[in-house]
Amino acid sequence: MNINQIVILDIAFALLVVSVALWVMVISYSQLLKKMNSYQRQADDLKKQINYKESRIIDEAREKAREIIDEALEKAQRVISESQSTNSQAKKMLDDALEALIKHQISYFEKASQDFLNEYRRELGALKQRSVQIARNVSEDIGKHTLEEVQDFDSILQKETIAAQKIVEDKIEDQYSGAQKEVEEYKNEMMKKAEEEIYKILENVSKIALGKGLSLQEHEQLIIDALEKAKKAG
Amino acid sequence: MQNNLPSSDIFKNLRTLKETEEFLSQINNTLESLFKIKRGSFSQVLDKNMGAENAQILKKIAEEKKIDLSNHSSLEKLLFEIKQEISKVKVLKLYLAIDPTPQIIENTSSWVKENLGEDVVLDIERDETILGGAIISFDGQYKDFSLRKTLDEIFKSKRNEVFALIK
Repeated sequence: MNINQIVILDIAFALLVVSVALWVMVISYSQLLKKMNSYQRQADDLKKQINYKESRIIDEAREKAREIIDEALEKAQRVISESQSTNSQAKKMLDDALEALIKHQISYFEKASQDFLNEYRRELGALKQRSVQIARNVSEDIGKHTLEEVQDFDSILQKETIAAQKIVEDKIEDQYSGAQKEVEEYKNEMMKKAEEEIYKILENVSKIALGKGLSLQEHEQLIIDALEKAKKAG
Repeated sequence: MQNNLPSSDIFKNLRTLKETEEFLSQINNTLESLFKIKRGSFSQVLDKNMGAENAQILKKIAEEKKIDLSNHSSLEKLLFEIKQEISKVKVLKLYLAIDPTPQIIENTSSWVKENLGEDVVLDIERDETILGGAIISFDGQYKDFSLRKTLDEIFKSKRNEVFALIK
């Protein structure tokens, strides 16, 4: 056998194995599908049963609830009607009692208010008298105290005025003497200035008069004298 | 002053700076004229440019030095020498309270030449404020001998007496 034949045999064997495997897989898959279908059918049946039971329970529950509600309604109506009758009786009793009470209270309040009013009037009168007396006393006290205060104030004012007057007088005296001193100083200063001015004027006038009063000969002599002095001075 | 020229003759006529400058100007004019005239007598040139008095002085000097006035170069040399001498003149500055008369100038100049030298000339300036006397500036020195200064000193020294009079 050559290699090609061996290869061909190997390939055929492999193919066989593969086909067998495939066959097995197909069979198992179909069985699986069958099982699934049967399960699916069972599940559907179960679902139907559950739905049926569910609807029955709901109906029964609904029926029960309706019965309970009807019963409760009947009871409530009974209670209401009973309470209404009790209510009207109680109401009537209450109205009667209230009316009696009101009448009693009115008469009591009338009496009490009258008493109160009388009492108030008495108290008011007494208070007024007391107030008048107090006001009288207070005004007398005020008057007395005010007079004392005024008298004290007057004496203090007098003292202070005299003291202030004295201070002012002293101050005026000081300022006056200060002003006098300043005036004197100013006067002296002005006098001094005036004297200086007069001195300067005198000096200038003297110089001008002397200068203009010289003759030509006198000028010539002065020039020669100046030259002589310069020569001596070197 | 030692020179070959009889400077006393030259300076005798020069009393002020103004006169000196004028004399120098005359010499310069004469020299210019000499350049133009190469021959002939220069006596007329001198007379024309110098003025009678100064021309006479120059002629006298030329005679003393035995310079021929027709000799151009000798005369020129003489003039240059004179110019040189005059440039050495000394100036005494005077400040006066007045415009001096010619007499005052003459007398003052005489005193200055007699006491300070022939070669000193006056430069006079007027200053009324000095009132009288003079302020002198000469040879780098400055002296105030004016009447103004004298009066200032008097008033200063007699200040108290004056104030007593005012009061």
